[in-house]
Amino acid sequence: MSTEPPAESVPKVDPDRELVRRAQAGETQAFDELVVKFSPRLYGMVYHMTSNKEDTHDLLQDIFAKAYRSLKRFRGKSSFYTWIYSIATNMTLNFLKKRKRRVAWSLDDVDSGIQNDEAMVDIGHAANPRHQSDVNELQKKLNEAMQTLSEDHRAVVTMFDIQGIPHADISKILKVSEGTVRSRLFYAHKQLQGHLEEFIR
Amino acid sequence: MSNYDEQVQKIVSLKRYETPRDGYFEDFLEEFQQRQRGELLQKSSTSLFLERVGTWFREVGSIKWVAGAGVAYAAVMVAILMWPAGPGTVPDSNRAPASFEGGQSPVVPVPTEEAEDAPEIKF
Repeated sequence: MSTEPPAESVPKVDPDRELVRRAQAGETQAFDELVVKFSPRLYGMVYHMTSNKEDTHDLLQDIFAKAYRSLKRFRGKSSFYTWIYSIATNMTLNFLKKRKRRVAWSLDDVDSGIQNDEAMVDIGHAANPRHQSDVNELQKKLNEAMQTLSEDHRAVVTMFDIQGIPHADISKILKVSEGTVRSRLFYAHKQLQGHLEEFIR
Repeated sequence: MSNYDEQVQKIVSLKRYETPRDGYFEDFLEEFQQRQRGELLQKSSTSLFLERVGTWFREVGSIKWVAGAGVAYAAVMVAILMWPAGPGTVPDSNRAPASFEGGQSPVVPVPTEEAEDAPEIKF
């Protein structure tokens, strides 16, 4: 079973409480600060779930608009981070269900990622020194493999493996037990192994 | 954690290096702000009024609701009690019959000076 990644752990006291309070009082600048703070993380989550930049952009706009409209109802029982991640996850999962029904959608719509990104190439080489010329191929396969996972499995892989969110926080975001998170992760890794076999030595 | 599992995790984690172009998030915020302003302008004046009324009632709480309802009820009751009685609202036994005998023409009462001063005109 997977161990905790070098995660960005969530402190007990919500660091966003003051910003949230100001935003709830109608200070739009405070909400803008929250958008600035959370858009990169949420972008990552939505992008790795959808594998499509345009869908990610539109969805992210909708997510922040929804959060803005619902902000008055946020009572601070959970951290703002968990709350907005829950909104983002639910909206993304709903979007994916609708997209699945779209006739035109296929794996051809999956973005190939940032193929010439230096960091990706370096890390790719470090991870797989025997396959230095296959970074692009790896990215393509990786995105396709991600899309073969069910939405629920992809969500935990995205949050845990890519974003480094601890099991406990994922369970709060998805409103499932930690055991379920671990189990989904286990089966997702098993499935991914089959698709990425050529890169695993 | 098996070696394969570790390898998978390591490969999948490479995706965290996939980030959007430089300046994307600045543009994103600007678009978000424009969208928010657009939505606000699209709201009709009626919905804005209703929203403000709703907010006011939420802020003043339930006690003010009760007081407001009481004042409204009292105002309606005062209006009903003070409203002048109109013709035909009270049954009048001294009214002329609907038909008359012997070809007499009905007497049309002519208002006198006193009658003009009276608050009510009775036929």
